[in-house]
Amino acid sequence: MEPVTIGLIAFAILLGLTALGTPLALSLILVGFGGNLFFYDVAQTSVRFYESLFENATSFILAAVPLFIFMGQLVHHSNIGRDLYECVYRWVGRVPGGLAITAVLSCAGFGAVTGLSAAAVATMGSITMPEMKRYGYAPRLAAGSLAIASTLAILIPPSLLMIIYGLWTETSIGHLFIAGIVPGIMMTVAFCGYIYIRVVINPELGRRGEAFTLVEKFRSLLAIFVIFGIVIGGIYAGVLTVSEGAGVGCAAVILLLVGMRRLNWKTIALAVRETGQLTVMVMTIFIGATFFAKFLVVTDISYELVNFIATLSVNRYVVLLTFVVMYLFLGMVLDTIGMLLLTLPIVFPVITELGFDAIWFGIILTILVEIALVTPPVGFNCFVMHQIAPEIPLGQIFIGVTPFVFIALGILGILTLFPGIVTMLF
Amino acid sequence: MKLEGSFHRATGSLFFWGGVVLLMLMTVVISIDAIGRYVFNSPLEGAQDIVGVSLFTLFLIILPHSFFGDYQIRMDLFYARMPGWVRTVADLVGAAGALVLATVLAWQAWENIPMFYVNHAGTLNVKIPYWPFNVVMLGTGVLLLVSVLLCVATGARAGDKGSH
Repeated sequence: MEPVTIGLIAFAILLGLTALGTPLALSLILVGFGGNLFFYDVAQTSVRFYESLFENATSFILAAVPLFIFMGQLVHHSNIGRDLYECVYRWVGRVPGGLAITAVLSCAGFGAVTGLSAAAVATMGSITMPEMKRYGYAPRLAAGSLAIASTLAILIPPSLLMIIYGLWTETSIGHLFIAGIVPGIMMTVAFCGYIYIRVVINPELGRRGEAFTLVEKFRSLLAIFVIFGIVIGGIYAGVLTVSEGAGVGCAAVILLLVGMRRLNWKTIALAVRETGQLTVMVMTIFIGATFFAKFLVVTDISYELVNFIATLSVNRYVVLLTFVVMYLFLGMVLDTIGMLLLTLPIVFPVITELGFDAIWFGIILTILVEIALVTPPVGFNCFVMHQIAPEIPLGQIFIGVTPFVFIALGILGILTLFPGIVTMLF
Repeated sequence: MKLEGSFHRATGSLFFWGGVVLLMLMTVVISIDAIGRYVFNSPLEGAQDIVGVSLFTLFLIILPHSFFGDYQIRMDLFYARMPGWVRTVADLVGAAGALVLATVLAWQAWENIPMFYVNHAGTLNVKIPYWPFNVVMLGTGVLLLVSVLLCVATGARAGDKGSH
């Protein structure tokens, strides 16, 4: 049998197992192991697996994954989200749609510290939803804006997804982080603008919040300024590497929580447990995907696919559009990290061969993942939102989020037309 | 069930306490290294080595509990709607994957420990010996093996930790 055929069959089996509900990491390991046995004996295959494990699990760069998650979980469980909300609310709560705008800006800020979309929706949702209800916000607008805003956490650096993409594609994670800033701001401004216009047109959608004096506004900035100054400043200024930023960020958050008398055993225990769960989940998939990709390299499947697309002589944007549609579809049924690692061995060589910039594609992919997080039937963030506000039917949340999905797609189009926007900061 | 519960608690405790120690260790080492490097122009020697082996150990000590706790990503959307026997097949295939993983970990560790010990194999900068971490890997392989067999024997699929 031709190596390419073996590769295609293995890929089909992998997709089949994934669809069946077999854990993705274990499917990758099992199929990767079976596939490698076509080319190597058991001992060699085991060594190849050990190499995949050892190279990744001892990687200094990969240490950023548990540390950023840990930092995010500490922030999540220590009420810093509420400080952030209070701060933003004092500044923008009074404008039309102010509470929903506060939710969007708070999520963007929260994302700038945590990089975890699920943590953002859980934290900010539980803080802002009761407030929006109190001010009579339309449920669709309230839930929709929160569900989409929480996805900003994975676009605004630091982002777990960008770390995984960077590691996998050997693209500079620092550049990916910087590249995410402008699209992240664009997305935030567009979401806020939409909310503002809708509430100006129809003030019944939500009442204005309270007014605050300038002193009260500035006082609320103190704690937030310390967190952002230390944690984010170091990374964005390019002083620290990604792993250093994650480690120093953790230390800064721990010291800050000690100073604020908010670091207790319960917070640490919750943060460690959730960090451990997420870390093993991400790392097992990453190791499994690396092992599976090693097998795909032997089969030459990526090489053949690149050649095949070259023979088609189609415009590269048609290929890109095909991938975008594929990701939109996959995002409806697959988990985001799984979707990324399952497709990158095939998609990334084609994208780079077609002359697209790897950093730019990383940002495009992140936006597609953002959309995946709010589109039915999986739409994970909408489900979390529904758990926070069970009185709002899931269907209403999906409808509420739809205009924001179109905005995100619009920004995706702008970034495709003007790729320089992504790379303008470096 | 008693054995299963005890095993679950033991691997859970290992995960938790190991997690606390290693996450804090990584945080402290990286912070000292970064402050030493950028403020005092004197980085901590071997910081990257320590962080690397800490990450490796962190992953290994969580792994046995992850199978029992069902921390792995799966397509719950379809899985939840499948008939019981299909779910069983999916779980058994997953268990087979975990068995492969456990066996390879234990086997490779068993082969590496004497070799690394004799050759003084260690990390790049400060030569932290690799063999103790392979002992941990051997333990992980065995614990994961027991975890999978217990799950298969009792038909358990603990928890339903989703994705993201």
